[in-house]
Amino acid sequence: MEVLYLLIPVSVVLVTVGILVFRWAVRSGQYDDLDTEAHSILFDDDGPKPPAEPGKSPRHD
Amino acid sequence: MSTDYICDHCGARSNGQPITQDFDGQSRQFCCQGCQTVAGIIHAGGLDAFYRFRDQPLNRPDTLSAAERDSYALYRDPAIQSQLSHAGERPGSLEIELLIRGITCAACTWLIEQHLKRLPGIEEVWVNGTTHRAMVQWDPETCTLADILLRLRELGYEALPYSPAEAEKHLSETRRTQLFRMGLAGIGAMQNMMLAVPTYFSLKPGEDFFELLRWLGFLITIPVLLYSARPFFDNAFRDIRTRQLTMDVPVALALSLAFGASTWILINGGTHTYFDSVCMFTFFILVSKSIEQSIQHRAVVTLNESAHQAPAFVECLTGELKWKAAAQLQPGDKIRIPAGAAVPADGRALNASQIDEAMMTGEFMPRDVQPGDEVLAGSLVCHTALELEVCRSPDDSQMAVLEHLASRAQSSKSRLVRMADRIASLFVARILLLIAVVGGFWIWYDASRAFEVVLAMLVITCPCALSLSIPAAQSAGLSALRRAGVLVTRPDALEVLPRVRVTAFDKTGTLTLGRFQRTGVRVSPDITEEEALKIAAAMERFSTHPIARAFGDIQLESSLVQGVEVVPARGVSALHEGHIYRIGTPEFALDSTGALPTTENHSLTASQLEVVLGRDGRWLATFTLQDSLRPEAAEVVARLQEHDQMQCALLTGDNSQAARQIGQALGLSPVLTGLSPEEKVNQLQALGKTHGPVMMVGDGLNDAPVMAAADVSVAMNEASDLAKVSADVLLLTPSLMGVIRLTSVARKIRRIARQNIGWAIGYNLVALPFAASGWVTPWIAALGMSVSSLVVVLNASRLARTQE
Repeated sequence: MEVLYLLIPVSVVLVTVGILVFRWAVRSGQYDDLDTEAHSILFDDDGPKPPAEPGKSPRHD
Repeated sequence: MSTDYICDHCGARSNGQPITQDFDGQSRQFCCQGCQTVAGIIHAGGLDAFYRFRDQPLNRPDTLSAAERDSYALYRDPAIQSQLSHAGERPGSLEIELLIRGITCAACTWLIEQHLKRLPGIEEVWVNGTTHRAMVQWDPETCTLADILLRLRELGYEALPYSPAEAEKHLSETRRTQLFRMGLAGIGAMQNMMLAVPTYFSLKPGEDFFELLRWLGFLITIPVLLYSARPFFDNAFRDIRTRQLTMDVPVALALSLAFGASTWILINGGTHTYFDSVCMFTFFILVSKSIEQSIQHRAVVTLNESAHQAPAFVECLTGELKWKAAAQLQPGDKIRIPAGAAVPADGRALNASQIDEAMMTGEFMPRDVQPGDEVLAGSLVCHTALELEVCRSPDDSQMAVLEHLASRAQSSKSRLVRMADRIASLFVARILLLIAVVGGFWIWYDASRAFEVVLAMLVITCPCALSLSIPAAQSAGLSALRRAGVLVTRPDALEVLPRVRVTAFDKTGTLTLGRFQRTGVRVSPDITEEEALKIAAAMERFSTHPIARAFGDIQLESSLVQGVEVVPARGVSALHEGHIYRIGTPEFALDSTGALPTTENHSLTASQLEVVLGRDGRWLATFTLQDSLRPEAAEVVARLQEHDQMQCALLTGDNSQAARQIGQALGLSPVLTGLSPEEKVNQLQALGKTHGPVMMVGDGLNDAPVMAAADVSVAMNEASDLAKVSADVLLLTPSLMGVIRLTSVARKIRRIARQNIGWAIGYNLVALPFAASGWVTPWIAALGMSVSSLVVVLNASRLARTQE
């Protein structure tokens, strides 16, 4: 149980770091546009032409 | 043939014959030439993934006409390019911020980025899908601003150079602060709960870790209270000074009492602290506030997009530059603004003219200005070109416009929230009085327990749940509507909506598509119907007039006609197989010898019109065109009538048989046709007097005054900017179904707000006697306070999940 005397302060330090990182992320505008980035992972970015998917409708799938 | 189909590009439902085209063996159907062209560009660029990922329909793109292409020529000028942009990161490159109209979902931003990046000379593109702004960095040696704007235009997006005003920077700064406040409270709440669990269940006061955990909780609560909850205290002090009891007062009171009592217990010893409750409550309130704020932010962005139409260049009357970018104007510059354009900066008129200030004041009648009169940025010049001496730089002027729009959208508190304020303040005043009385009794009866009992009562009656009840329901409802493509710009409308008894519709563009469709063809014996249609379609393909779209569904080989000439307001002429063909008005298509056959002299209804095709001045064919009803109109009217028990009326300026037919077909009553804008307002007010609150659904410029007069106004997706700016609700998708969604969600919001208030007050009334009699231990009280808030939030979140 004595290890808690070490772990609790460590957790406080981690929380502080977490808050500072969050503040940096907010200030640098990373939360300004939540719509685009949420979807961007779905898109192929640099492939010149996405491979056609045979037998699949091109949309609404 | 009239079967319904959905356009594969814009997603609109139409009836008639679609244009079809094969892409890699897959047949696609389109509603118009514009959609087909854009889809072709997207397909050629290998960007078909766009269609898979988009989740909102698009606006219907217009075909780019030669005249419109020419209007971009100014953007090729190096001097103008450098005036509008600033130096990019790489030496020699330029960077510009653009406002892009037509973005409907995240897939649009991807499409724009991908399509632009393939233009040689583009170095960096970044599109923000929330604010609809794009940052573009390019090499002026390789391409010009005109290329960039045209490349966006060919995809159907209209881009305007934009320099963000101070007010907007301020707005986004506020959002960021708010977000950080919420995040901090969230982290604090989680940490505190983790620290509190052992003290709830396993540890007893006096044990080793007990005090340590409590002190840590205290430490973590301090930043949450001082930073995250700061606005509540500021507002509460302000309201107390102005002698108003708003919801912020009990919130601040609850927070400071819970924190003060916990600190007292921490120092003097006691069984229970409430630091976790303080953080959690702050977090819940901030979450609902921030949902509301992000929706209001969207409303401001949309309104600003509609409002931003200042011409990028202004003709200068003084100085060495003839054309100056509007953003570069300085006080003292003398400029000329042509009729129909918006005034770019506040100034003093130098000549007499007429301006429309509806955007600023809501007054739609044009105002006469005399030399020396003040003119506000954002007004439209109506008649004669206005000469103006600039008084304030456009940045300051634009700020004023933005602030105006923002204040409209964020009109501090909606009526619903004010109602909650009233209930809470009445309730809180009484509870406090009661607690004082009960406290007095306990001091007399058993002074050792008095503090514990008073504290339990304060915690259990904390108005947290009550103060969350309405904001939570409202913000959940607003975001559900937003996802369904309905943007509420004035939350007050939500309170009025469930009481609305009459819905008045405009006709053209609201109940009808505002697009012409062919309903009949008559041909001379010299030509077959099919051939006449093909020639007509081949010619109309070169025109951007709405009539031309009526021929957009006809398949044809590319170069059927040559030597095409488009004559504005009259028609199109072209060469085909050695003959001159003309299509358009009878006077245009036919010469004096080629009069219409006598059978052609019959009357038409006003929503119909005829287009005549002539060969070498002789009559060949007549096409009858008609605007068609929206496919969903009948369903929407029926559901409003049955489900909402509303009366549905038609208010239209159209005085034709067709208007009355539409009214009859849809079962509208009363059907009022041939109304001037003033008569529309009068009729609307008369309806309001006899039946109750009125909702107006409209789109046109003429609808702005009648929309302002209605209790709730809804503007269609394709509405004029003016109508959008004056509307309470914007439908972001080109469908009337949004109206149904709006009324049903508004009703649900009211129901859930009532349930929440009932729950919060009921819980307090039940728990209070137990607390007063000393049966409730403080930890049960704290649990009750948290759970009651949680119930309210979860109940409201049912709204966000509603799908129909």
